Amino acid sequence: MNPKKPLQLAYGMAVVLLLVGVLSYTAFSAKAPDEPVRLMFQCSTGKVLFDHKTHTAESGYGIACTDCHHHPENAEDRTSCRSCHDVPKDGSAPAACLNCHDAGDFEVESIVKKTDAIHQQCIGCHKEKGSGPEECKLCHVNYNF
Amino acid sequence: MLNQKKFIVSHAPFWHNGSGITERSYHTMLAALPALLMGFYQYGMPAVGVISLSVSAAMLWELAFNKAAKLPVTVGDGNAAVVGLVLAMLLPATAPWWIVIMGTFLAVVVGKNIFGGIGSNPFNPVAVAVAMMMLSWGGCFDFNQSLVNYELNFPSMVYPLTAVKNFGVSAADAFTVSDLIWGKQIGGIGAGFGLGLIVGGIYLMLRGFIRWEISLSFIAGIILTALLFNTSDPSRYGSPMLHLFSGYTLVAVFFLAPEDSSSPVNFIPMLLYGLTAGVMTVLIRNIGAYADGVIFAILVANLLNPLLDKIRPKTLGHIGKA
Repeated sequence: MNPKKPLQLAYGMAVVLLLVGVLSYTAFSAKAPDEPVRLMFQCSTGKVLFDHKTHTAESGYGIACTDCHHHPENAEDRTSCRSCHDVPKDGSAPAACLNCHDAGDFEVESIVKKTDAIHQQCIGCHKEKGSGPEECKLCHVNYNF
Repeated sequence: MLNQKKFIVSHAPFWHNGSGITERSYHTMLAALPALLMGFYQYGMPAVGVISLSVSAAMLWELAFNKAAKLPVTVGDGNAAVVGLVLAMLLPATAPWWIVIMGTFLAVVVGKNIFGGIGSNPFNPVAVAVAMMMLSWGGCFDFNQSLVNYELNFPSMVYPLTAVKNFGVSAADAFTVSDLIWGKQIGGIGAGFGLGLIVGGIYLMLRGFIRWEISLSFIAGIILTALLFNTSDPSRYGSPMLHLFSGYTLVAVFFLAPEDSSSPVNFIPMLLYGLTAGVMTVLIRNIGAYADGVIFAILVANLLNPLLDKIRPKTLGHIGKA
């Protein structure tokens, strides 16, 4: 084989694959679905993998959106838990609250903190329905790859 | 007896049979194709993007290093492309572009070229890069997290090794051995389809591009160690088949461990090297901190490589000192 041929082939391959790679990352990148399939909550006590679809699908547990995304009840776009329950460290009101309320209409201290809100929601429902994990380590997992 | 012909060499000119590093690189990439195609089918265009960008970036890093160090351009030998390809096989389809660029830099420049290039690296370049990335950006290798938006026709969308590590063997009951072999498990783009990797591995072994002694002793090390653990506590430790067909095992067996300069050359050392990697893999998975210990097991085996190669065959006719 001509010694220059492998090099030319390699240059050609590098350029073509670079183009395909850049195009895939830009034009054909994966779009996040409108409704999440699963969610990974990052917690200090270990990550929690929450199967959103199994909880909401009719073939799963069929839980209504408003059972968890309870406020405001008639909103078309479901606000995430953290948009209200994740209170900024400086003690100011979360931006999502101020979309509808004035800052003086409510006390920031009365907002249930994110961890408590999710714990109440998950554990409360699991206890009420008598199914699903209730122990800490059955949701929170610590592992490295 | 004196007339016995032992070794006959004809005089020049010689004829090159065409075999070389370039040929070997392209055949290695060909062997990876079945596993890769399954990855493309399962994860779609994002997987194509990761693989393409990784191969291309690895070649460009090699070219950049060659130019910066004023060395001959070695991109043509295809080794950088293989490094990029194997690295991308271990990444999730959703790997961000900067992880791919960083990973290929770590593999090609830090793992290979600063040691002197092909044939001089003490560790497998891909294993070095993945270990550094796992320790720095572990979230990218958390397949449960990376692939949250994928919904595929698998028995479970949870990574089998982390399920076993956290919740015991029953957590991976949904997976049959057949599911794992046919790639019905989440994981790296080219790491999940066991059958494809085995076909590629057999091709490489038959063509002599990798040494069967390393790959088969690696598998033996995994099966034996996993069997011992599994027999001692079947509810806590996964079966040998689970260890063999999940995680990075088969990529490591056929594409990482047999890499030339970081693996031994003699028969007994090759067997010991493979066995060490297999035993370490299961030890790290079962009693270590990591869900998939393959990468670190390879690095430990690489570390032992120079020591293992001290076990040499006796020189013919050599009379030792006392």
